Amino acid sequence: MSVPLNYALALAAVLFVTGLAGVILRRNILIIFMSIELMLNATNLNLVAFSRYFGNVNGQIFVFFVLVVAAAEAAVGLAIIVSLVRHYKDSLNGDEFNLLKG
Amino acid sequence: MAVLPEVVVTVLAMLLLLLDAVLPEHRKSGLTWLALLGFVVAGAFNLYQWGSPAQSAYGGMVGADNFTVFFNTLFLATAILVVLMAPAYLRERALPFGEFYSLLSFAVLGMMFTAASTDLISLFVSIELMVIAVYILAGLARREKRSNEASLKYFLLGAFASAILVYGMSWLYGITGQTNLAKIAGVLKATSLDNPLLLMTIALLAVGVGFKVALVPFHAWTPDAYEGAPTPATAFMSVGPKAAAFAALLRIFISAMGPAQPDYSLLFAILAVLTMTLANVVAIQQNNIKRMLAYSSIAHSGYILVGLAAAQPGAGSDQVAGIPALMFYLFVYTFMTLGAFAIVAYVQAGQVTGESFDDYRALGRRAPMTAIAMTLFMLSLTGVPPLAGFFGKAYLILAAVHSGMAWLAVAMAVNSAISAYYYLRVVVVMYMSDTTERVPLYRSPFIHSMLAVASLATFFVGVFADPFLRFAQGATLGF
Amino acid sequence: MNAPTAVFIVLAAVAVVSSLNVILRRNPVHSAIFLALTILCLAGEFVLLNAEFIAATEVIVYAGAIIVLFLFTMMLLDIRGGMRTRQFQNQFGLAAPIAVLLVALLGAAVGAINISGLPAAALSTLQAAQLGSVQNLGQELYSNFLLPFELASLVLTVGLIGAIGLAGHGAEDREEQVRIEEALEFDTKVRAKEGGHLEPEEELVPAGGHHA
Repeated sequence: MSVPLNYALALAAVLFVTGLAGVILRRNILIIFMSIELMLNATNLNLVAFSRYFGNVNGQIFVFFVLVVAAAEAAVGLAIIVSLVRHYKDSLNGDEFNLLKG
Repeated sequence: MAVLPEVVVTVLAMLLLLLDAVLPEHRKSGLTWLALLGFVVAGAFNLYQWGSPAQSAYGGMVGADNFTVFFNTLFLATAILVVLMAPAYLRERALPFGEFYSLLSFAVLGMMFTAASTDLISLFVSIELMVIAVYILAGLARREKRSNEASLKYFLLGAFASAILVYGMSWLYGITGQTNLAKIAGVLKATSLDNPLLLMTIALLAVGVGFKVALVPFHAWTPDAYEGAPTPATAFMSVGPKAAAFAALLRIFISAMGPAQPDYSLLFAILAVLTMTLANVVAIQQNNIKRMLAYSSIAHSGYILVGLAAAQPGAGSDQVAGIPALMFYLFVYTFMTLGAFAIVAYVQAGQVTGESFDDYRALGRRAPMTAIAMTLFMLSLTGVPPLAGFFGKAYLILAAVHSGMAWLAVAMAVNSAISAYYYLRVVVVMYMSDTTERVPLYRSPFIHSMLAVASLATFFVGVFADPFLRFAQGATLGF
Repeated sequence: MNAPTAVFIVLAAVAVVSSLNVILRRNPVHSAIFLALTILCLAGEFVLLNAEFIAATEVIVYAGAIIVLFLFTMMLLDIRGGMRTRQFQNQFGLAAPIAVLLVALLGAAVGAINISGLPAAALSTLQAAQLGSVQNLGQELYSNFLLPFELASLVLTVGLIGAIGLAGHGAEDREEQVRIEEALEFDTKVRAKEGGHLEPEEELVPAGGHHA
């Protein structure tokens, strides 16, 4: 028998919460975006671990699609960031984009 | 052919993209007609499938049932109305026609597959197809700082929500060993529901979808994204992706997790009350009409969620069941909200912003028919009889009472009363204040026909509510 | 403890440390490098969990495409400005809920098997090796999962449109941008001065076009 399921799930939980903390606590939008990627990777690990545990391939197929979506999201997200930072010279801090406030 | 309407929309999206590349600049307004034609054809194919026996296609990835047909009707109607309201605004602000329409088609395609999905994997991919297209739509006015900013805020929180949602989905797969929604329901029925893992999964999924439909406390992105995005995109965002997210919510929480309904009913009831109360209180303080409508749209998410809290899986087409009430309200909400946003786009013509309440001064004199339409939408959003909004709310309240949550019904009634303040404020400004300002309004046959359709729908769905309610009831049979 | 588990624990430790570096570094370039390291460790874990193809895809897509995209973006933008300022939001009140979430998720992870009650599949070594094989995944992808596969191609198309549509235009936009910003500023000033609405002599747009 290979790696116990619990170990993989625990690692995924730690990575997920790390990513979540990064999203909530950081100001730099690039790092926030990378933290989101960490959360997606935690999900991938969860899915692969369950896939092995059940001996059923659906989990691995799911990971495949999460990867595709992450790639498309990265392309769009970074395009949005590039297009916005042209307006705000010198700033990558999310909370300084404050044109829209009630 | 179970997915014919979806195929038509795919072809349309590709065609729009290609023609946008080859057509000369002055011919591009013809794309509006192409988009309209495509959505109408897809709508016809879609309605043709109503009532045919439910079937599953593509290895259980999607289901073709009345539920799908109902939501496809909603999405295609949304698309048609948005295409009608867009050209004048796009031309005015020199925004690209081809990109707007093709992204709209891709988003609609994602929405249609979201409602049709019967598997976690296809559900996830469809939701992402929809939201990625909408992130771009929000930022399409890339020369405007606030459109970029709207797009960024929407994107960051949307991606964050997707990550939480997909983590929840991975746990759902982990609890049941299945990704097919019906099989998940089968496993959940057989196991004990008194399961902390299941509760945690419910919480993760609810947070993920909660961001997408803008429930308090996950709503922070909504006003910013709605205010900054180009108005036709805002109109689309406030209706289409929201309805699709509710379809996903129904697919996940009723189709797959229906057996766990006692576990989450109270959670959604509390979220509903929080959402409508906070959104209504904040909406009162707004001076920008797009922001006001954004908070109004959050409040309406709260109302619609009442239907899910009051849902009783297995109740099917029961007259007072929560799910048909929810779906009927979504139908009504589509027309009145799109109508209101179309008028915002209309009044903005020729101005840099044109979104404050002052821009609506004396609209009753400057543009009488438009003002009447706006009054109709505002009254319907408030829930004044005999308009559609009233019946929508009435059915939801009945469903809440029937499922033994009278306090939820009371909260909803009180909130409707609060919301009257800011909706009627628009009407008061239009008729009871004067202005010397003379900003020209658009002359666009498209936007006028769109307003006509939306106001007629708001009026007649109210006066003749019965066939539409039966439409919604017939569509829940899939569960 | 068997050998795969020992390797797993070592890789997990590296992954946790480097993921903490992703969110704690001041320089986003360092974060990106540590993200790549985390990804490589995860790919190693995937191999241990019999997902060889997914492990390869993860390295190619993440380390090869996404992180490179991040690094290109950082080259395009001036990231030093962001490094000189405060790095964290004043949201440390949320640290407690985050810690609670961590404990809950870890508890769920540890208790998962006992609670869910679903039996592990007893796979032979051969079966386990075939689970994540290219052949097995390919067959599933092109039969049962054909529809999401096609949808994924549309998702990538939309990503392409987005990248070109949002970031693909440079200098020709600059002039228009300045015009819009000046107009917006003017609009705000006039509104502020006149207590909310324009006077006729200051009207920006000529009259006409009254209709309904």
